[in-house]
Amino acid sequence: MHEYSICQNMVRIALDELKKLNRADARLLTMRIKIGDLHAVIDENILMAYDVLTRETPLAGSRLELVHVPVEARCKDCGEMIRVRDNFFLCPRCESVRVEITAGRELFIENLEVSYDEQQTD
Amino acid sequence: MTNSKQIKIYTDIMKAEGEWAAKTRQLLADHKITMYNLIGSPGCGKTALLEALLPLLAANRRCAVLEGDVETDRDAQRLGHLGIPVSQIITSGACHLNAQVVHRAVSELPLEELDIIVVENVGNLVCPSEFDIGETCKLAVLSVTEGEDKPLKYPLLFREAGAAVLTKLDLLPHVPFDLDRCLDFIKRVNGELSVFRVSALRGEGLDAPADWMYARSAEPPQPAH
Repeated sequence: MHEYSICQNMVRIALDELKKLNRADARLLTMRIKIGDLHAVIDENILMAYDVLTRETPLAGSRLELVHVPVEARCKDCGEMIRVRDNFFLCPRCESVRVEITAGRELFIENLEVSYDEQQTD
Repeated sequence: MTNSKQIKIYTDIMKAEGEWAAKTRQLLADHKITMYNLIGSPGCGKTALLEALLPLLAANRRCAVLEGDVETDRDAQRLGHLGIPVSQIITSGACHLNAQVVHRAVSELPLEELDIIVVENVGNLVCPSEFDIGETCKLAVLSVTEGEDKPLKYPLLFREAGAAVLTKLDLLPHVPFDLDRCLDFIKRVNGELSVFRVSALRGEGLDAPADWMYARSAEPPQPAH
């Protein structure tokens, strides 16, 4: 259940960003994160952790959008770009095993949508 | 009137972890220490492997062990007779060691007197692979009593590891484990991975991983004359 630890970090980062706005009424509407498929993050687990960890915070009730990034690699011998399927890290062109991952390791928050009252000033 | 605002942040979710891991790496570099992060399922034989490997490693390098467990210090007790520093980290439920906890434990070791630290992570193939603890190198441990398709099911560890150790080879005649298939699966996930086959129980095959671990560590300083 590494999703829980990952989610703890997400919540900490989002709360920091909200604090930077310096508006007491700022609330999070949506958080969009990118997850590389190498991380074996299960949507159900991370959504459950998010629900629990955001309770009674300015993030409560916000929507978590998960954007999965498929695993891609590049052959270090022939340069072929490989869409990795079933975790086979083999070059389909020259059969080399020397491949480097170019996508699928992402784990970052991309966007936060925040609501606040326009009238209120600092 | 209520407004909404989009904040584009592109923030690495593991940023805080990465910062602690970087501090540990710096500490290790300052003391010319190599740190291995041993990762494998519960019961795959990580502690037995250490019991068999550490006497070999300790012959040429000054070693210490950090034992990660969800509960109890039983593993640290098992290694107590080896005469090397062993610290137990109890995670109280967490399924992996995190970088901050490991940094604290590393800081408390007698670093001036060490060449190699081996961290035995919490028994788990998935979660510990996700967390950088500042190690020099991850070592995957897989036993022949598990499914031979584990490398395909948990590719991250086998992609990230510097070497894999197949344990309990003495049980191979008694279990339906297809060794060739397993090696083929490892090759498909990471064809550049060194794979060692050992039986900790019989003390077989241990020189190869010990040599591999030496080769990546600095020699202890010669006493000044």
